[in-house]
Amino acid sequence: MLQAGNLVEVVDLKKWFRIRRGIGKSRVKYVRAVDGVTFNVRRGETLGLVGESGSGKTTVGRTVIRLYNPTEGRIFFEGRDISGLDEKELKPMRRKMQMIFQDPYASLNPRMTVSDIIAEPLEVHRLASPAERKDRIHELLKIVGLNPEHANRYPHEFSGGQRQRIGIARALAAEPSFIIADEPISALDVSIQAQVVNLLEELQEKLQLTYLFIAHDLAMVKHISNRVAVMYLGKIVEIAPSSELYQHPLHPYTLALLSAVPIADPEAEAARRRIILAGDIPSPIDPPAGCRFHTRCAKAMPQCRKHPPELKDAGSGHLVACHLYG
Amino acid sequence: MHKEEQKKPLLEVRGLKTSFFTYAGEVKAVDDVDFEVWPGEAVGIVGESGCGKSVTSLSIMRLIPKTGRITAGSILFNGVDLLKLSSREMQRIRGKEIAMIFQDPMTSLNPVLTIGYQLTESIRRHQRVSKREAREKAVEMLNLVGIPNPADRLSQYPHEFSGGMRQRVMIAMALSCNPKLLIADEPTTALDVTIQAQIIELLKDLRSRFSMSIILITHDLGVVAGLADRVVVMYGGKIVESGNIKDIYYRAKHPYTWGLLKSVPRLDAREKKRLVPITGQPPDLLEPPGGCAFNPRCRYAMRICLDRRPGFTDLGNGHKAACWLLHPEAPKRVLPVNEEEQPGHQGVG
Repeated sequence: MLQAGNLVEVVDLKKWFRIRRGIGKSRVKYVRAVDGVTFNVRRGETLGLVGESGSGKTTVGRTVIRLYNPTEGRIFFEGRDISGLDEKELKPMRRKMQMIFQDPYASLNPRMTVSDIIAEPLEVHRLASPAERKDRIHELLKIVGLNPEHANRYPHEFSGGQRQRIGIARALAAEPSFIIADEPISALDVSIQAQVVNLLEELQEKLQLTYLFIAHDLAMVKHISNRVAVMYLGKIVEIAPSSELYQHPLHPYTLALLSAVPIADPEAEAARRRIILAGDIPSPIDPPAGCRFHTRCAKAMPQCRKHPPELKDAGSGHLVACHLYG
Repeated sequence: MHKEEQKKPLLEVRGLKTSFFTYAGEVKAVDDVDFEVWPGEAVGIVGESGCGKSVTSLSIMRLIPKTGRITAGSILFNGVDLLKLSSREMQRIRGKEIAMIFQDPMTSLNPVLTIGYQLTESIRRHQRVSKREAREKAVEMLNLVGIPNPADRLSQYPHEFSGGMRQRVMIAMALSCNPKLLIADEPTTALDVTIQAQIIELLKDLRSRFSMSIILITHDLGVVAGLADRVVVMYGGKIVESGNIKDIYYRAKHPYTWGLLKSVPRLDAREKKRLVPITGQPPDLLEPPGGCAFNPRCRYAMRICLDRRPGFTDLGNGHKAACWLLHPEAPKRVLPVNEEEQPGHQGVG
């Protein structure tokens, strides 16, 4: 099952959240946030994970890093199955897998100095002696483009972009090989987004990092990723190398999604033909039977209502889950 | 659009200054802003957070929070200065002549009143109609903005609507009195991209059907490219460049406009290019930099940029930019964005 070159392999991963509904909260239901996804992340690459809100992309990220316990399925990291590990066994794995969060305002403790924030992973994983610690913190701040003299300041003294750099420095402190970046730039201003994306790219080159880049901004995902996976309602509908996916999208949902992204060019915009999807994304509590997209798909066939399509290779590593193809 | 035929703009903002008075000092959120909106025209106001784009629109509506005040300027709407109206007269204009939709459709509807109540309330406030007529009008409006089964939906509450549907309700409410001007403040920012596309198509369609003017306030240059005729770029409370959409996107003259265009990747890019970010941080409006507000982040900054605020240079066809580089005595610099647009220059260097 394990292929050489894969840092992470995820096999049929499910994450259902239990909720209680009805009078006296007597009815137990499940939100099927992630409902059977399979993918791998190759060493040194950036895999982009895109989808709209409610598609389950964040849940995938959090389950892969074991912030959530998977309901079903397996997660292999460096060839080791980590889906059933307990907290103690996970700790050494956690050092190698770090996360960068969306909201640079909420993900840094306001009562800790920058230096304390970055020191925490060093302490937890015993990576630097107290004597070395200060030097390491300064080094990390320099790597992410912050002034080491600001180590004793508090998060509120920094702008959004700078805070995101602090979050990146914290993630790098543990010397990870794999970083999950969950919407790392969507809370930032346009001019700052490019700064952070360029930083992530430089760090990847310098430190040979592997990224899972989760975002809803398709243009940015295309820019940063080697391959892209598209999610819809808890399932991956298509995975392909980045340029292939954007030039030859196959799944009707991917087509609609790409056509909906505005392009900052008035002539290109005027010439485009949009595929406007009707309605909204259905509830993950009672997802449609068969292909989950059939309720909004213009090309839906009778079999789409009955049988869920499987993710199949349509040639040269382009995987798609749609009855239109095979 | 047809500037010769219709000589008067619908909205003329002249020398507008809006400040907030905080304990830390005066924040000049909008500092001497001039622009106009012609009948039937869609104007995009573009900029990052804190550039003053939202405060500009709130000033037009005279909805500035209490800590703020419009300190100078005039806002002529159909020739009438809105800043001289009594609050009562302003109420008659607000909603009827000028309507506004906001970024967050989750919080701009009252959660404890039905959609029907909220819609008919705004209709009856501005039009002399019976309850029944107002209800019919409400159904018609919901139908117009593409909400299925509008008559049934009237008795439902906001939580029964999705985000995109709520934004449609807001648009229905805004359009129910046939306003001449619609101000849309980040109308799609809280929405998913496929829903955003639905709302933009709806706005385009409604605009051509009612020949309404639109002010679209956004940070998203893609959304503006698809909808606006003219663009106003703001930075640090001031307009740095304005012009028709093609001049701004293809012949931008201000380094900030150029920076904005270059810092976002394009979905239709064939090859991967490194993004060119704008270095540094947006200005602190409590202590704005002297001279041109953009000078600390501008890679073309000259000595004069630190001392004196640049005036506008008229570039023809309504295109103007406030940058010292455009001064006749300034050294000639070609901004990279313009370089690429010229055929024959491609592949050089």
